Amino acid sequence: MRRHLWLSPLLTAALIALLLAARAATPAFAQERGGQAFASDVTVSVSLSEVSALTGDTFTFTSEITNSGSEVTPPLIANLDFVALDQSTYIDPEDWSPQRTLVVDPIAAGSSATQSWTVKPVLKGDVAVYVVVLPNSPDLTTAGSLAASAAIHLHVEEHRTLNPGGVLPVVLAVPGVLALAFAGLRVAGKRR
Amino acid sequence: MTSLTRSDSSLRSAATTPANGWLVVAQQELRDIWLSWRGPVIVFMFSLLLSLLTYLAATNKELNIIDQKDTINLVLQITLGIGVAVSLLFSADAVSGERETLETLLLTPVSRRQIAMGKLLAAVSVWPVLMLVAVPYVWALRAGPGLFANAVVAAFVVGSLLTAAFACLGMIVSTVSNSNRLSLAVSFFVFVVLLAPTRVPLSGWFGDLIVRVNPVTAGSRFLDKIIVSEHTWGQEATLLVAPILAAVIAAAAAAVLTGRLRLQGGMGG
Amino acid sequence: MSAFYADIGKMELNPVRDPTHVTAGAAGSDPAGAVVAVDGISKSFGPLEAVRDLSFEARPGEIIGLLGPNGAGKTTAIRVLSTILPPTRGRFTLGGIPHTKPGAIRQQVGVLPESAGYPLHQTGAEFLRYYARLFGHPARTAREIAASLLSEVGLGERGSSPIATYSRGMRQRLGVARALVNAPSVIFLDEPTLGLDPAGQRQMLALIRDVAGQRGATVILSTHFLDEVDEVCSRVIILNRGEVIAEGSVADIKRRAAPRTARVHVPPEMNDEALSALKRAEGVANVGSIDAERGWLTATFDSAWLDEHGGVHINSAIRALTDADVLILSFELEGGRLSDAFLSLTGEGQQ
Repeated sequence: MRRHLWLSPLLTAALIALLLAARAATPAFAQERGGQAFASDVTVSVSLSEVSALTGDTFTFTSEITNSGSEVTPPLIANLDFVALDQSTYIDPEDWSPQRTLVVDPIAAGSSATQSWTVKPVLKGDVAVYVVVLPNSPDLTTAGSLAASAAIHLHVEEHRTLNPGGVLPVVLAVPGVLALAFAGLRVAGKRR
Repeated sequence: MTSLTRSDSSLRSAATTPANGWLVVAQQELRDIWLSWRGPVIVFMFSLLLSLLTYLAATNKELNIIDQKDTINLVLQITLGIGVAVSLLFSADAVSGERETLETLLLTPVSRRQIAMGKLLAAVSVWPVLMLVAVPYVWALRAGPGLFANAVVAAFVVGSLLTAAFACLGMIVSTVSNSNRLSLAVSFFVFVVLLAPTRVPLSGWFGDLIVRVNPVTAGSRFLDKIIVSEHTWGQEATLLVAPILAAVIAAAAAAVLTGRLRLQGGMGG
Repeated sequence: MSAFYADIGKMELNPVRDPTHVTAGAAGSDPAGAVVAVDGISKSFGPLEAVRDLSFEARPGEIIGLLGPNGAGKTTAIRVLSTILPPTRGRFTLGGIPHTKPGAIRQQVGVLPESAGYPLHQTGAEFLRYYARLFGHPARTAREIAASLLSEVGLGERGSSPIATYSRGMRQRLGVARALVNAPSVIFLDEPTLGLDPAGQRQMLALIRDVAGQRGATVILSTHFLDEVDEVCSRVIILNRGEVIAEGSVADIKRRAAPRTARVHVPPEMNDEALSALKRAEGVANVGSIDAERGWLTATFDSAWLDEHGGVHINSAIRALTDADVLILSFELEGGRLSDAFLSLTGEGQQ
């Protein structure tokens, strides 16, 4: 036994080296295999499936990114996207939500991260709302490096109000007061 | 014999050059503008425009399509544009549009310069009225007390400088022009030329130079910075240089040239 | 019958009138001296000399007629004297004030311009109040002046109506009222009866007479209508192409075109007798037959004889016809009217 003692530090060092190499090799492994590893390891789910709302109403939902892989994910980007289902409506995402993109910290294997999203529909119609997650990396050329949630079917009706922002009294009163004032001035002028 | 004839001597001694002839002229011109249809119709139409604009803006504001500050900026910039344009047109019409009645006015002992000054004052009277009409609309857009006061004061200062400059320009053109149509066309053309760059994105050193030298673009940019970007006056004071210079130069030129006001247009003695 | 025709002849041939109204005490002037003194005034517009060497004087209460064809320089002269335009050369004083003090002169003069415009939306009273204030009267006095002047020119009941509702004649009267708002010592009226109907012209002339007579103001009246000058003016200045071609009393001017020809209508059967009688008449230089079949004749008088004997001696021709028992159907003098003098002096009658 004593003649094999010199082996244990060597073995220990080798094991450590292997572990470090394996850790470093994981992204390389992932890159070598492309996004398949990413796509299959990371899933996104949303808390709502269908929403009915009026224009101007605000609603919130959450998305949950789950890392079902064995390795920690790289830093991620979660992006909120809108698609008009009638294809004729143009949707400017900046008008619909103040949160376009969220940066998500790396998620440990087997863990998940939750994001909260606020949406304010500004046009009527049927819209698909979904979250796309991708690695926060400049190298996104490999296919399959995106993970997308299921779409929330958002049905928007137009909110009609006669008094948006409470401006109606002013909008009506000012011209009315002016008309009366000038009529009064004219009468007073003629009397003089 | 009438009582007037008996007191001819006393009345003749009482007939003098009025100390404030410009005030007498201004009072009559103000009556002509505000007790007739001209001024009231313009102000009423302006209020309808602002009502429509405010209503649409409030609708869009609720949908967050337009930022609140942008809305207020838009309302005040439109107020400024219309106020300056109307004052310019009134002053451009003040002399050349009234050549028939000008002769009897020139037969009074009131100096030419005072006649012009009185007409000019009446011409610019529309600006503060429009600004006053705009105030409740700006308030209704829920600006918040801090932004509301700052925005209104900034718009009033810029608008007053530009109104003074363009009204004086209009008066000069009106004095030298024999044709009212020409006077209005030239005055409005100059205004449009100076207004046009506000619609064009100007960048780079040349664009910045244009912005700062042109009193209209400088004034418009000043309002943008104060209202939308919420900069301080000190930060953007250099943008007021062009409007101030324009007002001073135009007023000085008007003071000199309107002294040569005569029956036919031109600058002869 | 001879006496009857002689009377008619006297009436026709001595139409000299002297409507001068001279009143003492017109304020702002020397009663014994001229209130208007013009010396060599000229006005040029580039190469065009619109008025050349205009000189005249006027006393308080005089009504001076300024005559001339279109483009003679009447309006330009008035505009220079009322300080609307500066003179190119010469000098003048009004009420003792030199032309170098236009503001002070404007306090002394009232003007009704030929092309005066009126603010149609204003009422007559408002218009006069405005101008009273421009002449330094406070608001209350201005109201009193306006009311008084409106009454004086016959617009008392229309003072609160917009000027847009006034007729041409009413606007002219309003213009005269405006010219009087500062109780001027000199009043310039440029074509005051232009566009008025005969009744309106009569009213205007009566007003002008009143202004000069009651106020003692000197009136310079520019007009095309020679009858007006004949009726109200004491002196006439005739301009042509910017120059004064005649100046004097109305009578003096008329005398320059004293009647020299008579047109006679007699029964056709008496044509020869009439010709013979006229040839024998004293002072008749030439006799001719215009239309013998209808009995129209002309008799031209000798100019030197007329100058020596005066216009009334044209009666010699009438006497010659009546002595020959020729029936005179009409006897018309050509000349002797201001219009004849005017046309003769300006050469327009020859065009």
